[in-house]
Amino acid sequence: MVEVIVCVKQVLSVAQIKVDREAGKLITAGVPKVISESDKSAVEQAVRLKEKYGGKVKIVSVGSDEAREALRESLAIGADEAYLLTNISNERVDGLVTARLLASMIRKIGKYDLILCGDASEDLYAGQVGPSVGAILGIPVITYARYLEVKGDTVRAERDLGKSIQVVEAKMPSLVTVVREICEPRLPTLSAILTASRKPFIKWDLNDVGAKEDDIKESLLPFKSYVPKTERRQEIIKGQTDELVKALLNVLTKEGLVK
Amino acid sequence: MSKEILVYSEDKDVTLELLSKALEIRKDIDALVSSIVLSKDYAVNLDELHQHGAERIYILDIRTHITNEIVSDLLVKLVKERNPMLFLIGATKDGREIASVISAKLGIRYIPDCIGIELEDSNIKIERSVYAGNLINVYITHGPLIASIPPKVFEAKHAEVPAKKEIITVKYEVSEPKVNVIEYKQKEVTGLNIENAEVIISVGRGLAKKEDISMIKELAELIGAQVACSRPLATDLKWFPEDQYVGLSGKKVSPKLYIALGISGQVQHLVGIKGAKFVVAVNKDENAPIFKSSDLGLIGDMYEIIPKLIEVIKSKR
Repeated sequence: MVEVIVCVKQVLSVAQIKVDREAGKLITAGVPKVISESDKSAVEQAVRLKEKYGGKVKIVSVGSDEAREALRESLAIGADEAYLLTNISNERVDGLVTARLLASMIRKIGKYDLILCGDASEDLYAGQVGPSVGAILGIPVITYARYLEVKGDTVRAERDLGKSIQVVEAKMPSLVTVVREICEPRLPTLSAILTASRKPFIKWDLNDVGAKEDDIKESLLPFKSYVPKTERRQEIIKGQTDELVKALLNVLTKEGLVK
Repeated sequence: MSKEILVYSEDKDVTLELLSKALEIRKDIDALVSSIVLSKDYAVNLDELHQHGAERIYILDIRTHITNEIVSDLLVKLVKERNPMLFLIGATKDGREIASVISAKLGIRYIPDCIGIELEDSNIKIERSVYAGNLINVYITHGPLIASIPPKVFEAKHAEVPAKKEIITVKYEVSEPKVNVIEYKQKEVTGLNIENAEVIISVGRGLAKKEDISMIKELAELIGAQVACSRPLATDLKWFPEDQYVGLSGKKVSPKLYIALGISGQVQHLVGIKGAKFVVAVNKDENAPIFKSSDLGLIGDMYEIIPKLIEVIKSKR
């Protein structure tokens, strides 16, 4: 049996974000919120471990009420229970505070063998919360795993280091962050989605995990934001193949790449 | 909190970049610039660190295998003892992990992937690119702060030689490691470094089948370009080795010319090409987002354009 806890984050769908250049802000109205890609793979990986070894998969998340969709999706993939620390929107907390809150949630849940997280969420791409949670809980940390397996009381993982693949092992309990490609998340069946709506979904507030508003206020948040200038010329040519070939050839000639 | 800027990366080139930046910004508060070296890292030349701005060098004594866990352990102890205002770490995968661990263990705030740092009236001002490059966040803090900085954000420069030159060897007791390295496996890598390429031809999902890469390679050879791809072609389809993909989680390139063929222009890909001087995109879909991030957009079929282009170039020779 392997008891797994998966940390998930609900993020704005980065591909659909537009920017308000004048205001220096993102236009988030109407942009769907989704479970972070690598977190979703982490959930799938956890469910596969459950299917192989038994045990339970519990999902934890810090967010606002909107995050419940990401959690329902995780339950539909096959997780057993979901825990949400509510009223903590992403804008109010930095990575360190998020990690502390998640660690408090995990301590309250109690027993686990493995904690899985996505390597980095696509909104801020920090890759911070996973290792920080492991450090706070005092358990071994393995990051950027593209493959993992459980052998007895040990977890073995392969990390892509660019030039080579590093194979590491640690005794559980430990924390592993996984890359999106570690596995392809399944598409839940309708029956799985219906079952998910009946699974335990527990909402906690700061009090429940022994935290205070002051702990949140410690966060280092952006002082301001701005939209970087895109300096691309954005010239478009639409025409016959010969015209397009000529245009491309022009560029190559200008750069001195052809005679 | 001491007026010290600590610098560490397991990558020597990045260390020099960070040291140069540290030396540049330290003037406002006359901070000490320090570099950290592991005693087992024989590749490091202490004089070179000194020439790029390190006034103090800490040599961390390490007798065991070098793992992230052990490095984190040693750095936690050093940072706790020295209490620097600013700790700069190279934002490689390992650096980002180590920075996160140190931040959590010591309760020090950490900003990842910084692209700008200044010291202003003893405040640290940090710029960071988020939402796949769509927004820049600016942070101000009096410190202490850990900041990770990606390779090639700053430039390594020789300094006017700093006045001080101090080497301190540091020995700490480390706990028994809990993460063990079992082995290293070979990866299929080309060894070609697209990050240094001057001209790149990159392909995306518009490429119909793996065999068509030969057409791209032919063009690349004719114009002296390197071939790259978007993430799915490397990690999902496995048509390319993983060190050849450009994007948020892949390589960041800054060629003088980047030709994107059949790439739709997902934001995560666009982050990888921000440094390109001139971007040409070829795509059948006139609504493809890549066109907003190109200098020249050609709405057409790469399977018609490229063979024709190859023909024309060959005929000119």
